[in-house]
Amino acid sequence: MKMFKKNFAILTICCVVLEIFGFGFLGLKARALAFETINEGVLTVGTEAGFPPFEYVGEDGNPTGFDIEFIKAVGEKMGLKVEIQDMDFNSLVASVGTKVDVAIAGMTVTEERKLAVDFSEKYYDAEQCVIVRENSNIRSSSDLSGVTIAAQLGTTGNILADEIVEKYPETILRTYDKFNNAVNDLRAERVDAIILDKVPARTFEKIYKDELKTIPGDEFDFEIEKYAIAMPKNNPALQNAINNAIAEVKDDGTYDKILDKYINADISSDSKGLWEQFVSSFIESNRFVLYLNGLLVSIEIAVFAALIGLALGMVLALMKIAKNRKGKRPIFSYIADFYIDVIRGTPLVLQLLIMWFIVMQSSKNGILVATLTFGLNSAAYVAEIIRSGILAISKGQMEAGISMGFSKIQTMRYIVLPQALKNSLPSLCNEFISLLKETAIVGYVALSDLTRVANQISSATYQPFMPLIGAALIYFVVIKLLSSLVKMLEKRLNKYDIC
Amino acid sequence: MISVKNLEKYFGETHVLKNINCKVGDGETIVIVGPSGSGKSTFLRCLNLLETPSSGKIWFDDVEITDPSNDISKVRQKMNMVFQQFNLYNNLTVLKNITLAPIKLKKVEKKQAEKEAMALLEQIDLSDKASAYPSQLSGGQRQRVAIVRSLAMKPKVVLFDEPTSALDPEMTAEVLKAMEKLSQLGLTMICVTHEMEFAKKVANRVIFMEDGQIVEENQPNEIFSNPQSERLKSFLSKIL
Ligand SMILES: Nc1ncnc2c1ncn2[C@@H]1O[C@H](COP(=O)(O)OP(=O)(O)OP(=O)(O)O)[C@@H](O)[C@H]1O
Ligand SMILES: [Mg+2]
Repeated sequence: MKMFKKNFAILTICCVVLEIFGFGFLGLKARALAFETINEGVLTVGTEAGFPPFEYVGEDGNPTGFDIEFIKAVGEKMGLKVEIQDMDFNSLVASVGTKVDVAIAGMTVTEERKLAVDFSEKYYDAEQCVIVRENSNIRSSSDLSGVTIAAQLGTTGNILADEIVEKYPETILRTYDKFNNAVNDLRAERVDAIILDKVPARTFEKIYKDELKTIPGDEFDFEIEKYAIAMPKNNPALQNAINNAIAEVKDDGTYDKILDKYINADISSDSKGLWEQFVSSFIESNRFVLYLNGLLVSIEIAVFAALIGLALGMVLALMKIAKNRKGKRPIFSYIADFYIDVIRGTPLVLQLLIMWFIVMQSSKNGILVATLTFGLNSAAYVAEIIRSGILAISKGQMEAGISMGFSKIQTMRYIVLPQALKNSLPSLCNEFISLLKETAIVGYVALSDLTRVANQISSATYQPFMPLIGAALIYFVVIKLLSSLVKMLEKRLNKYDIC
Repeated sequence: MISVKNLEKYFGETHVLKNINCKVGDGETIVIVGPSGSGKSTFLRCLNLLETPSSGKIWFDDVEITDPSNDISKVRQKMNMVFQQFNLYNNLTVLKNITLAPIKLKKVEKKQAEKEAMALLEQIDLSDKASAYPSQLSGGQRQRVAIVRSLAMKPKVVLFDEPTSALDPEMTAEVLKAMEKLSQLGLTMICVTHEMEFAKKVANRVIFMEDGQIVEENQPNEIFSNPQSERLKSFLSKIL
């Protein structure tokens, strides 16, 4: 007991002495003893804030991103305050040791750079690989020419895939929100290869053991990018301190948290000014063309689906109101009822997914599947519109036709249906308008409609604001236009209205 | 031309027509009168099977139309109906209203059908309305068009169900004039109406219905000046 007290006293004195010499608290700051920094107590870090999500300019105008938070955590473990200096990537390496203590910029460890700087332990492995079907002939980069490849939207895999498409223009790229869907399409032979990170790739390979296989990215000349922190050469004290801090950051879960925040989740940043966002969202790389193409896809699906919906809806409406000689409803009338109920009682998204993954599993044509789904769906609503349109036509019209010697079907065709359709026209147009809006979900079957394009661009630019608001605006303008046309039509129709 | 035997009609529990028997000869003009709800319209509508009789038989030109194996549409081409509410096809112009049935049902050439339709319109002084829509016509004009629409099919019989009840007096006169002309031309007509003057002047026979039954049936002057039954007497005293 006595002994302990004595030791404790000595320890305390030591601490006080160290404190006086400015070394801070013993346990944590003792390491700082071994190396020097440019500014005392500060780790000056160089970066180039133009590589999201690793480093980019945050909302407050300061650099942020995975690397930045990571280095701040590392600095904290080292007992240092971290100061970030944003500079040109090309001058980063040269600045290490003179202008900055270390550099972190999604920097890949290369032999060339090793001549100029030392690197810490790698803190991030950007390794992409390719999943194909077990029996696939795809083995290397050139095999990807002319096939359909897939990637998750906004991932490194997407970037690599874009490069492949650039290299082999016949190659088709499909992007997905969820790897699961891409993998399902791979199994259904809708796509031939998926480029994705090795971690999920291995998971899928395990789940579909006999169906899928993974080919390492280096077969495709995908570089395994090991990101590490650059530091001055021959400074083992600093290197050790940093490596230890990295280990600590990884061990205590901070690393994973930052990883989740920036890499595993889409990042959002409104850092740029509105005009710059506008430029990057619409003008840069002619992105407005993408929006227009997306709008065309939306319109194309809506128009053809509306035609299917109109034809089938008319048939359903007639089936529904049909009566036999005894004035009873025939069986097919109840079938129409059932169809309409089921369609109206289930979410459209599910109908789309069911068509894509189950009913039309063998089809690779997303437009076809989407158009059919929307057509079949719209038919149920059109049927109700037309049915009430028919019921609104006075009984006298039908009787006049019949008593003239027309059959019921002829009367329907020549007299009642034209009037019912005319009266329903505004409602039918409104149905078309909502159809157009509903096409916003076709991204689920890997189609690039307007909504999807907006999503893609917001993920590419890491700026959700402009693309999403822009897309909404485009929808709004188109729909406003259509609905004012409908209003004019309605007025016209009322002018020549019938007694 | 038409004969009706033991015709009965129920609407659910309501017994609307009770054992109707009657014959209509070629070229006759029959006027049916009776209080509201007595079953006049129902009777007329049974004749061309717009209402299905509950029992009884109806013959048209020796064809039993109540026999389901006979094509009623064919019969209706020769036995048209003119309605109180006109029921012009609202989606078609006057001309097309008239030509639709001849073209589609009788396969008349369009040109020919239109020529005939124009001639008919000429007769009712409405040729300038050929391309108008029904909504652009007055009630009297509509009813006259409805009548020539019927005539365009060259029917043997035309059934009129209160053709003037929805019209004001002036228009009523127009329509009645047209009907009188048809009667003179020898068209067989069965006509439900409250126009007693028309009945007196034009009808060959007047049928008085009450409570689903034919109560009295006679030449117009007999009906009006020498009613037999108490019911007819009280009916006439109310309306004359
Ligand atoms: N579709 C129907 N369903 C049930 N009852 C009906 C129907 N049509 C007519 N009725 C009934 O049958 C009876 C006869 O009706 P109907 O229309 O034949 O009379 P009406 O003599 O033509 O009368 P009005 O002079 O008012 O036109 C009435 O009691 C009426 O309520
Ligand atoms: Mg009546």
